[in-house]
Amino acid sequence: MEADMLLKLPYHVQKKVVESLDPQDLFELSQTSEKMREMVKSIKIKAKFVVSFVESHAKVRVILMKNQRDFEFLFNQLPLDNKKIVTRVLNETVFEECIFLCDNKMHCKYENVNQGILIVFHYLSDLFQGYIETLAVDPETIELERFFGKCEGKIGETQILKINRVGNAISQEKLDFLIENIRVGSSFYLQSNPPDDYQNDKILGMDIIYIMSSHFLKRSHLINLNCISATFRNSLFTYSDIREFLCHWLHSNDDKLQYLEIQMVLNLEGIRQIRRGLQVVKMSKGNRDQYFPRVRFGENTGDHLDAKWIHLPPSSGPNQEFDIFRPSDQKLATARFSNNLFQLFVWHVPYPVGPIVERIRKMPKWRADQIREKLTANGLVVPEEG
Amino acid sequence: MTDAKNERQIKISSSDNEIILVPRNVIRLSTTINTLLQDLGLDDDEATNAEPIPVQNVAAPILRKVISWCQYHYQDPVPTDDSDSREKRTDDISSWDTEFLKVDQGTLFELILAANYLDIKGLLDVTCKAVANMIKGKSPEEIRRTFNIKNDFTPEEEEQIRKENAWCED
Repeated sequence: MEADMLLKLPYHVQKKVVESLDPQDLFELSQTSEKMREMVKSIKIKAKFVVSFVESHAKVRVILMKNQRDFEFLFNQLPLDNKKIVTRVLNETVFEECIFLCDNKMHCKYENVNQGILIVFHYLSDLFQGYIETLAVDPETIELERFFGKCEGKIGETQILKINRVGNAISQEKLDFLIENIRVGSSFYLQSNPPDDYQNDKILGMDIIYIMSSHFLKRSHLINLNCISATFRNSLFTYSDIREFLCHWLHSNDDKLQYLEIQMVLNLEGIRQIRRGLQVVKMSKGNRDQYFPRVRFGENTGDHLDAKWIHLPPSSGPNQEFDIFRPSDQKLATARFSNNLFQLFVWHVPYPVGPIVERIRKMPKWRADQIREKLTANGLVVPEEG
Repeated sequence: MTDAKNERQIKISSSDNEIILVPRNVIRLSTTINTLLQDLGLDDDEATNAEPIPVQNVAAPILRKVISWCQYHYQDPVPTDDSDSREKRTDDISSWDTEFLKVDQGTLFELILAANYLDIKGLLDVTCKAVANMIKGKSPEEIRRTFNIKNDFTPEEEEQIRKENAWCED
Protein backbone atom coordinates (compact mmCIF):
# COMPACT_ATOMS: atom_id res chain seq x y z
CA MET A 1 0.00 0.00 0.00
CA GLU A 2 1.10 3.54 -0.67
CA ALA A 3 2.75 5.13 2.37
CA ASP A 4 0.90 7.64 4.53
CA MET A 5 -2.45 7.24 2.75
CA LEU A 6 -4.15 8.72 5.81
CA LEU A 7 -2.22 11.93 5.28
CA LYS A 8 -3.27 12.11 1.65
CA LEU A 9 -6.98 12.12 2.40
CA PRO A 10 -8.81 15.44 2.03
CA TYR A 11 -8.97 17.49 5.24
CA HIS A 12 -12.66 16.97 5.94
CA VAL A 13 -12.26 13.21 5.46
CA GLN A 14 -9.34 13.18 7.91
CA LYS A 15 -11.57 15.19 10.24
CA LYS A 16 -14.32 12.59 9.99
CA VAL A 17 -11.89 9.79 10.87
CA VAL A 18 -10.15 11.69 13.66
CA GLU A 19 -13.39 12.85 15.24
CA SER A 20 -14.55 9.25 15.54
CA LEU A 21 -11.57 8.33 17.69
CA ASP A 22 -11.27 8.27 21.45
CA PRO A 23 -8.64 10.48 23.11
CA GLN A 24 -6.37 7.50 23.77
CA ASP A 25 -6.46 6.52 20.08
CA LEU A 26 -5.74 10.10 19.08
CA PHE A 27 -2.77 10.16 21.40
CA GLU A 28 -1.43 6.89 20.00
CA LEU A 29 -2.02 8.04 16.42
CA SER A 30 -0.09 11.23 17.17
CA GLN A 31 2.81 9.07 18.32
CA THR A 32 3.22 7.35 14.96
CA SER A 33 4.94 10.25 13.18
CA GLU A 34 5.47 13.99 13.33
CA LYS A 35 3.29 14.45 10.25
CA MET A 36 0.50 12.43 11.81
CA ARG A 37 0.73 14.52 14.96
CA GLU A 38 0.43 17.67 12.87
CA MET A 39 -2.59 16.16 11.12
CA VAL A 40 -4.34 15.40 14.44
CA LYS A 41 -3.50 18.93 15.65
CA SER A 42 -4.95 20.47 12.49
CA ILE A 43 -8.39 19.03 13.30
CA LYS A 44 -8.48 21.26 16.42
CA ILE A 45 -10.36 18.89 18.67
CA LYS A 46 -11.85 20.67 21.66
CA ALA A 47 -11.00 19.28 25.07
CA LYS A 48 -10.67 20.23 28.68
CA PHE A 49 -7.97 19.13 31.08
CA VAL A 50 -7.74 18.03 34.67
CA VAL A 51 -4.20 18.64 35.90
CA SER A 52 -3.27 17.39 39.34
CA PHE A 53 0.16 17.93 40.80
CA VAL A 54 -0.81 16.32 44.08
CA GLU A 55 1.58 13.45 44.61
CA SER A 56 -0.97 10.76 45.42
CA HIS A 57 -3.11 11.83 42.45
CA ALA A 58 -0.48 13.11 40.05
CA LYS A 59 -2.20 13.04 36.70
CA VAL A 60 -3.16 14.76 33.50
CA ARG A 61 -6.58 13.90 32.17
CA VAL A 62 -7.93 15.03 28.84
CA ILE A 63 -11.70 15.03 28.32
CA LEU A 64 -13.17 15.55 24.87
CA MET A 65 -15.83 18.24 24.91
CA LYS A 66 -17.96 16.49 22.32
CA ASN A 67 -18.55 13.17 24.06
CA GLN A 68 -16.83 13.45 27.45
CA ARG A 69 -14.55 10.51 26.60
CA ASP A 70 -11.27 10.77 28.46
CA PHE A 71 -7.70 9.61 28.64
CA GLU A 72 -5.51 9.84 31.71
CA PHE A 73 -1.79 9.85 32.39
CA LEU A 74 -1.01 8.90 35.96
CA PHE A 75 2.44 9.34 37.40
CA ASN A 76 4.34 7.69 40.19
CA GLN A 77 7.90 6.87 41.12
CA LEU A 78 7.40 3.16 41.68
CA PRO A 79 8.73 0.57 39.22
CA LEU A 80 6.20 -0.99 36.85
CA ASP A 81 5.67 -4.52 35.58
CA ASN A 82 8.33 -4.87 32.86
CA LYS A 83 6.45 -7.30 30.65
CA LYS A 84 3.79 -4.86 29.65
CA ILE A 85 5.92 -1.78 29.54
CA VAL A 86 5.81 0.55 26.57
CA THR A 87 7.82 3.65 25.83
CA ARG A 88 6.38 6.96 24.75
CA VAL A 89 8.28 9.97 23.49
CA LEU A 90 6.69 13.33 24.15
CA ASN A 91 8.27 16.60 23.13
CA GLU A 92 11.70 14.95 22.99
CA THR A 93 11.33 13.55 26.48
CA VAL A 94 11.39 9.79 26.74
CA PHE A 95 9.02 8.08 29.13
CA GLU A 96 10.62 4.68 29.21
CA GLU A 97 8.27 3.00 31.62
CA CYS A 98 4.63 3.39 30.77
CA ILE A 99 1.89 0.84 31.11
CA PHE A 100 -1.79 0.68 30.24
CA LEU A 101 -3.60 -0.56 33.31
CA CYS A 102 -6.98 -0.17 31.72
CA ASP A 103 -8.27 1.12 28.41
CA ASN A 104 -8.00 4.82 29.00
CA LYS A 105 -5.36 5.06 31.72
CA MET A 106 -1.65 5.10 31.13
CA HIS A 107 0.55 4.81 34.20
CA CYS A 108 4.04 6.25 33.95
CA LYS A 109 7.02 5.90 36.18
CA TYR A 110 9.06 9.08 36.14
CA GLU A 111 11.55 10.28 38.71
CA ASN A 112 10.32 13.85 38.68
CA VAL A 113 6.55 13.51 38.81
CA ASN A 114 5.81 17.24 38.47
CA GLN A 115 8.15 17.52 35.53
CA GLY A 116 6.43 14.52 33.91
CA ILE A 117 3.01 16.12 34.34
CA LEU A 118 4.23 19.33 32.75
CA ILE A 119 5.64 17.50 29.73
CA VAL A 120 2.53 15.40 29.20
CA PHE A 121 0.25 18.40 29.70
CA HIS A 122 2.16 20.45 27.16
CA TYR A 123 2.06 17.61 24.65
CA LEU A 124 -1.67 17.04 25.08
CA SER A 125 -2.56 20.73 25.21
CA ASP A 126 -0.69 21.13 21.93
CA LEU A 127 -2.53 18.17 20.41
CA PHE A 128 -6.00 19.26 21.56
CA GLN A 129 -7.55 22.70 21.82
CA GLY A 130 -8.74 23.46 25.29
CA TYR A 131 -8.27 24.81 28.76
CA ILE A 132 -7.60 23.52 32.25
CA GLU A 133 -10.98 22.85 33.84
CA THR A 134 -9.63 21.53 37.13
CA LEU A 135 -6.27 22.32 38.63
CA ALA A 136 -5.15 20.59 41.80
CA VAL A 137 -1.84 21.75 43.20
CA ASP A 138 0.36 21.63 46.20
CA PRO A 139 1.79 25.12 45.68
CA GLU A 140 4.83 24.42 47.79
CA THR A 141 6.03 21.63 45.50
CA ILE A 142 5.73 23.18 42.04
CA GLU A 143 7.05 26.32 40.48
CA LEU A 144 3.74 28.09 40.06
CA GLU A 145 4.99 31.07 38.05
CA ARG A 146 6.71 28.77 35.56
CA PHE A 147 3.67 26.54 35.20
CA PHE A 148 1.25 29.43 34.79
CA GLY A 149 3.64 31.12 32.38
CA LYS A 150 3.69 28.04 30.18
CA CYS A 151 -0.09 27.59 30.39
CA GLU A 152 -0.90 31.03 29.06
CA GLY A 153 -4.38 30.99 27.58
CA LYS A 154 -5.26 27.64 29.09
CA ILE A 155 -5.59 28.57 32.74
CA GLY A 156 -7.87 31.64 32.81
CA GLU A 157 -10.96 29.51 32.27
CA THR A 158 -10.16 27.14 35.13
CA GLN A 159 -13.41 26.32 36.86
CA ILE A 160 -12.16 24.29 39.77
CA LEU A 161 -9.07 25.10 41.79
CA LYS A 162 -8.04 22.62 44.45
CA ILE A 163 -5.18 23.45 46.75
CA ASN A 164 -4.13 20.23 48.37
CA ARG A 165 -1.59 20.45 51.12
CA VAL A 166 -3.44 18.67 53.85
CA GLY A 167 -2.33 19.63 57.33
CA ASN A 168 0.46 21.86 56.04
CA ALA A 169 0.89 25.58 55.90
CA ILE A 170 0.64 27.63 52.75
CA SER A 171 2.10 31.07 52.32
CA GLN A 172 -0.02 34.15 51.71
CA GLU A 173 2.00 34.89 48.59
CA LYS A 174 1.38 31.53 46.92
CA LEU A 175 -2.27 31.41 47.86
CA ASP A 176 -2.77 34.92 46.47
CA PHE A 177 -0.99 33.97 43.28
CA LEU A 178 -3.28 31.01 42.69
CA ILE A 179 -6.48 32.83 43.55
CA GLU A 180 -5.61 35.83 41.40
CA ASN A 181 -4.99 33.58 38.41
CA ILE A 182 -8.37 31.92 38.23
CA ARG A 183 -11.64 33.51 37.35
CA VAL A 184 -14.30 34.58 39.82
CA GLY A 185 -17.22 32.16 39.77
CA SER A 186 -15.03 29.08 39.93
CA SER A 187 -15.06 26.39 42.56
CA PHE A 188 -12.37 26.75 45.16
CA TYR A 189 -11.16 24.00 47.49
CA LEU A 190 -8.53 24.85 50.05
CA GLN A 191 -7.10 21.89 51.93
CA SER A 192 -4.25 23.63 53.59
CA ASN A 193 -3.51 25.99 56.46
CA PRO A 194 -3.35 29.62 55.36
CA PRO A 195 -1.84 32.23 57.71
CA ASP A 196 -4.14 33.33 60.56
CA ASP A 197 -4.44 36.83 59.14
CA TYR A 198 -4.99 35.71 55.56
CA GLN A 199 -7.22 38.06 53.61
CA ASN A 200 -8.24 37.90 49.95
CA ASP A 201 -11.77 39.02 49.14
CA LYS A 202 -11.70 37.21 45.78
CA ILE A 203 -12.32 33.95 47.66
CA LEU A 204 -15.74 35.20 48.67
CA GLY A 205 -16.70 35.64 45.03
CA MET A 206 -16.13 32.00 44.06
CA ASP A 207 -19.32 30.06 43.38
CA ILE A 208 -18.43 26.98 45.39
CA ILE A 209 -16.08 27.32 48.36
CA TYR A 210 -14.67 24.55 50.50
CA ILE A 211 -12.11 25.51 53.12
CA MET A 212 -10.73 22.84 55.37
CA SER A 213 -8.99 25.13 57.86
CA SER A 214 -11.21 28.14 58.23
CA HIS A 215 -9.55 29.58 61.32
CA PHE A 216 -8.56 32.70 59.36
CA LEU A 217 -12.14 33.59 58.47
CA LYS A 218 -13.79 36.45 60.32
CA ARG A 219 -17.36 37.61 60.77
CA SER A 220 -16.89 40.07 57.92
CA HIS A 221 -16.19 37.16 55.57
CA LEU A 222 -19.57 35.66 56.42
CA ILE A 223 -21.36 38.94 55.92
CA ASN A 224 -19.68 39.52 52.56
CA LEU A 225 -20.22 36.03 51.16
CA ASN A 226 -21.22 36.08 47.50
CA CYS A 227 -21.32 32.40 46.63
CA ILE A 228 -23.73 29.56 45.90
CA SER A 229 -22.30 27.11 48.37
CA ALA A 230 -19.73 27.49 51.12
CA THR A 231 -18.30 24.89 53.46
CA PHE A 232 -16.04 26.11 56.24
CA ARG A 233 -14.42 23.37 58.29
CA ASN A 234 -12.56 23.90 61.58
CA SER A 235 -13.77 27.44 61.95
CA LEU A 236 -13.42 29.77 64.91
CA PHE A 237 -16.81 31.37 64.36
CA THR A 238 -18.84 32.18 67.47
CA TYR A 239 -22.58 31.98 68.13
CA SER A 240 -22.65 35.72 67.85
CA ASP A 241 -21.10 35.51 64.37
CA ILE A 242 -23.77 33.04 63.23
CA ARG A 243 -26.56 35.11 64.69
CA GLU A 244 -25.18 38.23 63.05
CA PHE A 245 -24.97 36.37 59.75
CA LEU A 246 -28.57 35.13 59.96
CA CYS A 247 -29.82 38.63 60.81
CA HIS A 248 -27.82 39.98 57.88
CA TRP A 249 -29.23 37.34 55.52
CA LEU A 250 -32.79 38.13 56.64
CA HIS A 251 -32.34 41.79 55.76
CA SER A 252 -30.27 41.30 52.62
CA ASN A 253 -31.31 40.68 49.06
CA ASP A 254 -28.75 37.90 48.54
CA ASP A 255 -30.41 35.50 46.13
CA LYS A 256 -27.24 33.56 45.36
CA LEU A 257 -26.49 31.61 48.52
CA GLN A 258 -28.06 28.16 48.58
CA TYR A 259 -25.98 26.31 51.11
CA LEU A 260 -23.69 27.20 53.97
CA GLU A 261 -21.96 24.76 56.25
CA ILE A 262 -19.80 25.77 59.18
CA GLN A 263 -18.01 23.39 61.47
CA MET A 264 -17.89 24.89 64.94
CA VAL A 265 -18.33 24.02 68.59
CA LEU A 266 -22.03 23.84 69.43
CA ASN A 267 -24.07 23.52 72.60
CA LEU A 268 -27.74 23.96 73.34
CA GLU A 269 -27.29 27.29 75.08
CA GLY A 270 -25.37 28.61 72.09
CA ILE A 271 -28.10 27.51 69.72
CA ARG A 272 -30.69 29.25 71.92
CA GLN A 273 -28.57 32.40 71.79
CA ILE A 274 -28.55 32.29 68.02
CA ARG A 275 -32.28 31.71 67.82
CA ARG A 276 -33.29 34.33 70.38
CA GLY A 277 -35.16 37.19 68.80
CA LEU A 278 -35.19 35.65 65.31
CA GLN A 279 -38.59 35.31 63.73
CA VAL A 280 -38.87 31.57 63.24
CA VAL A 281 -41.58 29.89 61.20
CA LYS A 282 -42.96 26.43 61.84
CA MET A 283 -43.01 24.34 58.72
CA SER A 284 -44.23 20.83 58.19
CA LYS A 285 -41.33 18.63 57.16
CA GLY A 286 -43.46 16.70 54.72
CA ASN A 287 -43.74 19.35 52.04
CA ARG A 288 -40.22 20.73 52.21
CA ASP A 289 -38.58 18.48 49.68
CA GLN A 290 -39.71 20.27 46.56
CA TYR A 291 -38.31 23.57 47.79
CA PHE A 292 -34.80 22.53 48.72
CA PRO A 293 -31.99 23.48 46.43
CA ARG A 294 -29.99 21.05 44.36
CA VAL A 295 -26.62 22.66 44.63
CA ARG A 296 -23.09 21.37 44.41
CA PHE A 297 -21.45 21.27 47.78
CA GLY A 298 -18.57 19.79 49.64
CA GLU A 299 -15.29 18.70 48.19
CA ASN A 300 -16.72 16.47 45.51
CA THR A 301 -18.44 18.67 42.97
CA GLY A 302 -20.36 15.68 41.67
CA ASP A 303 -22.35 15.60 44.89
CA HIS A 304 -25.56 17.48 45.11
CA LEU A 305 -27.44 18.60 48.11
CA ASP A 306 -30.43 16.36 48.51
CA ALA A 307 -33.55 17.36 50.38
CA LYS A 308 -33.68 13.95 52.03
CA TRP A 309 -30.29 14.59 53.56
CA ILE A 310 -31.65 17.22 55.90
CA HIS A 311 -34.14 14.75 57.36
CA LEU A 312 -31.49 12.30 58.48
CA PRO A 313 -31.56 11.97 62.25
CA PRO A 314 -28.43 13.51 63.75
CA SER A 315 -26.17 10.96 65.39
CA SER A 316 -25.04 12.82 68.50
CA GLY A 317 -24.73 16.16 70.26
CA PRO A 318 -27.22 18.95 70.55
CA ASN A 319 -29.36 19.29 67.51
CA GLN A 320 -32.09 21.59 66.44
CA GLU A 321 -33.50 23.02 63.31
CA PHE A 322 -35.76 25.89 62.47
CA ASP A 323 -36.88 27.83 59.45
CA ILE A 324 -36.46 31.54 58.94
CA PHE A 325 -38.49 33.59 56.51
CA ARG A 326 -37.35 36.67 54.58
CA PRO A 327 -40.47 38.73 53.87
CA SER A 328 -38.82 40.97 51.25
CA ASP A 329 -38.64 38.18 48.68
CA GLN A 330 -40.52 35.42 50.54
CA LYS A 331 -37.42 33.24 50.73
CA LEU A 332 -37.29 30.57 53.34
CA ALA A 333 -34.16 29.02 54.80
CA THR A 334 -33.69 26.11 57.15
CA ALA A 335 -31.03 26.45 59.81
CA ARG A 336 -29.82 23.18 61.20
CA PHE A 337 -27.48 22.54 64.11
CA SER A 338 -26.10 19.09 64.70
CA ASN A 339 -22.82 17.23 65.15
CA ASN A 340 -20.93 20.49 65.57
CA LEU A 341 -22.17 21.67 62.21
CA PHE A 342 -24.25 24.70 61.45
CA GLN A 343 -25.97 24.36 58.09
CA LEU A 344 -28.17 26.79 56.27
CA PHE A 345 -30.28 25.52 53.37
CA VAL A 346 -31.90 28.28 51.36
CA TRP A 347 -35.03 27.15 49.57
CA HIS A 348 -34.70 27.60 45.85
CA VAL A 349 -38.17 29.02 45.28
CA PRO A 350 -39.99 31.53 47.47
CA TYR A 351 -42.19 30.06 50.16
CA PRO A 352 -45.63 29.94 48.58
CA VAL A 353 -47.30 32.71 50.55
CA GLY A 354 -48.27 34.34 47.27
CA PRO A 355 -50.73 31.63 46.22
CA ILE A 356 -52.22 31.60 49.73
CA VAL A 357 -52.83 35.34 49.54
CA GLU A 358 -54.52 34.83 46.18
CA ARG A 359 -56.76 32.15 47.68
CA ILE A 360 -57.60 34.32 50.68
CA ARG A 361 -58.76 37.12 48.35
CA LYS A 362 -61.39 34.87 46.89
CA MET A 363 -62.72 33.73 50.30
CA PRO A 364 -65.47 35.23 52.44
CA LYS A 365 -63.97 37.71 54.92
CA TRP A 366 -64.62 35.55 58.01
CA ARG A 367 -62.79 32.58 56.44
CA ALA A 368 -59.92 34.74 55.17
CA ASP A 369 -59.43 36.19 58.67
CA GLN A 370 -59.34 32.67 60.14
CA ILE A 371 -56.60 31.57 57.75
CA ARG A 372 -54.63 34.78 58.10
CA GLU A 373 -54.68 34.35 61.87
CA LYS A 374 -53.49 30.76 61.56
CA LEU A 375 -50.63 31.72 59.25
CA THR A 376 -49.59 34.64 61.43
CA ALA A 377 -49.49 32.27 64.43
CA ASN A 378 -47.02 30.21 62.42
CA GLY A 379 -44.77 33.19 61.89
CA LEU A 380 -45.76 33.92 58.31
CA VAL A 381 -46.44 37.49 57.39
CA VAL A 382 -49.57 37.70 55.29
CA PRO A 383 -50.16 41.15 53.82
CA GLU A 384 -53.47 42.83 54.57
CA GLU A 385 -55.91 43.52 51.72
CA GLY A 386 -55.77 46.76 49.83
CA MET B 1 -34.42 -2.62 -5.83
CA THR B 2 -36.75 -4.03 -8.52
CA ASP B 3 -38.20 -0.52 -8.85
CA ALA B 4 -34.74 0.81 -9.52
CA LYS B 5 -34.16 -1.63 -12.37
CA ASN B 6 -37.26 -0.44 -14.22
CA GLU B 7 -36.34 3.18 -13.90
CA ARG B 8 -34.61 5.59 -16.21
CA GLN B 9 -30.91 4.83 -16.55
CA ILE B 10 -28.06 7.33 -16.33
CA LYS B 11 -24.83 6.77 -18.22
CA ILE B 12 -21.64 7.48 -16.37
CA SER B 13 -18.09 6.88 -17.48
CA SER B 14 -15.16 5.96 -15.29
CA SER B 15 -11.66 7.40 -15.41
CA ASP B 16 -10.65 4.41 -17.56
CA ASN B 17 -13.50 5.20 -19.99
CA GLU B 18 -15.81 2.35 -19.08
CA ILE B 19 -19.46 3.33 -19.45
CA ILE B 20 -21.81 2.15 -16.73
CA LEU B 21 -25.60 2.46 -16.63
CA VAL B 22 -27.07 3.35 -13.24
CA PRO B 23 -30.75 3.73 -12.32
CA ARG B 24 -31.60 7.41 -11.74
CA ASN B 25 -32.89 6.81 -8.22
CA VAL B 26 -29.75 4.94 -7.25
CA ILE B 27 -27.31 7.58 -8.43
CA ARG B 28 -29.41 10.20 -6.63
CA LEU B 29 -27.30 9.30 -3.56
CA SER B 30 -24.40 11.10 -5.22
CA THR B 31 -24.91 14.80 -4.60
CA THR B 32 -22.24 15.56 -7.21
CA ILE B 33 -24.03 13.73 -10.04
CA ASN B 34 -27.46 14.73 -8.83
CA THR B 35 -26.54 18.42 -8.92
CA LEU B 36 -24.88 18.01 -12.30
CA LEU B 37 -28.00 16.41 -13.79
CA GLN B 38 -30.16 19.18 -12.42
CA ASP B 39 -27.78 21.90 -13.62
CA LEU B 40 -27.65 20.40 -17.10
CA GLY B 41 -31.43 20.17 -17.26
CA LEU B 42 -31.27 16.41 -17.63
CA ASP B 43 -33.24 15.69 -14.53
CA ASP B 44 -36.67 15.84 -16.17
CA ASP B 45 -35.64 14.14 -19.36
CA GLU B 46 -37.21 10.70 -19.66
CA ALA B 47 -34.51 9.46 -22.01
CA THR B 48 -31.08 8.17 -21.07
CA ASN B 49 -28.42 10.83 -21.45
CA ALA B 50 -26.62 10.38 -24.77
CA GLU B 51 -23.27 11.60 -23.49
CA PRO B 52 -22.09 9.78 -20.37
CA ILE B 53 -21.30 11.85 -17.32
CA PRO B 54 -17.56 11.61 -16.78
CA VAL B 55 -16.44 10.51 -13.32
CA GLN B 56 -12.84 11.27 -13.98
CA ASN B 57 -11.40 10.50 -10.56
CA VAL B 58 -12.83 7.01 -10.16
CA ALA B 59 -11.74 3.86 -11.97
CA ALA B 60 -14.32 1.32 -13.18
CA PRO B 61 -13.79 -1.37 -10.48
CA ILE B 62 -14.26 1.21 -7.70
CA LEU B 63 -17.14 2.89 -9.49
CA ARG B 64 -18.94 -0.46 -9.82
CA LYS B 65 -18.38 -1.05 -6.10
CA VAL B 66 -19.73 2.40 -5.28
CA ILE B 67 -22.80 1.72 -7.43
CA SER B 68 -23.39 -1.62 -5.73
CA TRP B 69 -23.33 0.20 -2.37
CA CYS B 70 -25.79 2.78 -3.70
CA GLN B 71 -28.06 0.04 -5.08
CA TYR B 72 -28.32 -1.50 -1.63
CA HIS B 73 -28.79 1.81 0.21
CA TYR B 74 -30.73 4.06 -2.18
CA GLN B 75 -33.97 3.60 -0.23
CA ASP B 76 -32.38 4.37 3.16
CA PRO B 77 -33.57 7.49 4.98
CA VAL B 78 -31.52 10.53 4.02
CA PRO B 79 -28.66 10.90 6.53
CA THR B 80 -28.73 14.14 8.49
CA ASP B 81 -25.86 16.60 8.41
CA ASP B 82 -23.08 16.08 10.89
CA SER B 83 -23.69 18.07 13.99
CA ASP B 84 -20.72 19.07 16.08
CA SER B 85 -22.53 18.02 19.22
CA ARG B 86 -23.46 14.57 17.92
CA GLU B 87 -21.33 11.72 19.15
CA LYS B 88 -19.66 9.85 16.32
CA ARG B 89 -19.96 6.11 16.86
CA THR B 90 -18.01 3.57 14.89
CA ASP B 91 -19.58 0.38 16.24
CA ASP B 92 -22.84 0.74 14.33
CA ILE B 93 -21.78 -0.52 10.89
CA SER B 94 -24.46 -2.83 9.49
CA SER B 95 -23.61 -6.45 8.67
CA TRP B 96 -24.11 -5.80 4.92
CA ASP B 97 -21.67 -2.88 5.05
CA THR B 98 -19.22 -4.93 7.10
CA GLU B 99 -19.19 -7.55 4.33
CA PHE B 100 -19.02 -4.83 1.68
CA LEU B 101 -15.97 -3.30 3.36
CA LYS B 102 -14.01 -6.55 3.52
CA VAL B 103 -11.57 -5.23 0.94
CA ASP B 104 -7.86 -4.50 0.90
CA GLN B 105 -6.78 -1.17 2.29
CA GLY B 106 -5.99 0.31 -1.10
CA THR B 107 -9.56 -0.35 -2.22
CA LEU B 108 -10.92 1.06 1.04
CA PHE B 109 -9.04 4.32 0.55
CA GLU B 110 -10.14 4.50 -3.09
CA LEU B 111 -13.73 4.01 -1.95
CA ILE B 112 -13.29 6.88 0.51
CA LEU B 113 -11.92 9.14 -2.22
CA ALA B 114 -14.72 8.10 -4.61
CA ALA B 115 -17.39 8.68 -1.94
CA ASN B 116 -15.84 12.05 -1.26
CA TYR B 117 -15.64 13.01 -4.96
CA LEU B 118 -19.17 11.82 -5.70
CA ASP B 119 -20.38 13.30 -2.39
CA ILE B 120 -22.16 10.17 -1.15
CA LYS B 121 -22.51 10.95 2.54
CA GLY B 122 -23.57 7.51 3.76
CA LEU B 123 -20.71 5.75 1.99
CA LEU B 124 -18.19 8.32 3.19
CA ASP B 125 -19.44 7.92 6.77
CA VAL B 126 -19.19 4.15 6.78
CA THR B 127 -15.76 4.02 5.10
CA CYS B 128 -14.37 6.60 7.54
CA LYS B 129 -15.75 4.54 10.41
CA ALA B 130 -13.98 1.49 8.99
CA VAL B 131 -10.68 3.42 8.97
CA ALA B 132 -11.29 4.67 12.52
CA ASN B 133 -11.93 1.07 13.63
CA MET B 134 -8.57 0.08 12.14
CA ILE B 135 -6.86 2.65 14.41
CA LYS B 136 -8.77 1.99 17.62
CA GLY B 137 -6.99 0.12 20.40
CA LYS B 138 -3.67 -0.10 18.54
CA SER B 139 -0.22 0.98 19.67
CA PRO B 140 1.70 3.52 17.57
CA GLU B 141 3.80 0.74 16.03
CA GLU B 142 0.71 -1.30 15.14
CA ILE B 143 -0.90 1.77 13.56
CA ARG B 144 2.29 2.40 11.58
CA ARG B 145 2.25 -1.17 10.30
CA THR B 146 -1.46 -1.08 9.50
CA PHE B 147 -1.29 2.11 7.47
CA ASN B 148 2.30 1.95 6.28
CA ILE B 149 3.03 5.21 8.06
CA LYS B 150 6.50 6.56 7.45
CA ASN B 151 8.24 7.17 10.73
CA ASP B 152 9.69 10.66 10.65
CA PHE B 153 10.89 10.82 14.25
CA THR B 154 14.45 11.79 15.06
CA PRO B 155 17.06 8.97 15.38
CA GLU B 156 16.95 9.28 19.19
CA GLU B 157 13.21 8.79 19.15
CA GLU B 158 13.52 5.83 16.79
CA GLU B 159 15.96 4.25 19.22
CA GLN B 160 13.28 4.45 21.87
CA ILE B 161 10.77 2.78 19.56
CA ARG B 162 13.22 -0.07 19.05
CA LYS B 163 13.48 -0.38 22.81
CA GLU B 164 9.72 -0.57 22.96
CA ASN B 165 9.67 -3.42 20.47
CA ALA B 166 12.37 -5.20 22.43
CA TRP B 167 10.17 -5.09 25.50
CA CYS B 168 7.30 -6.58 23.53
CA GLU B 169 9.44 -9.51 22.44
CA ASP B 170 10.46 -10.44 26.00
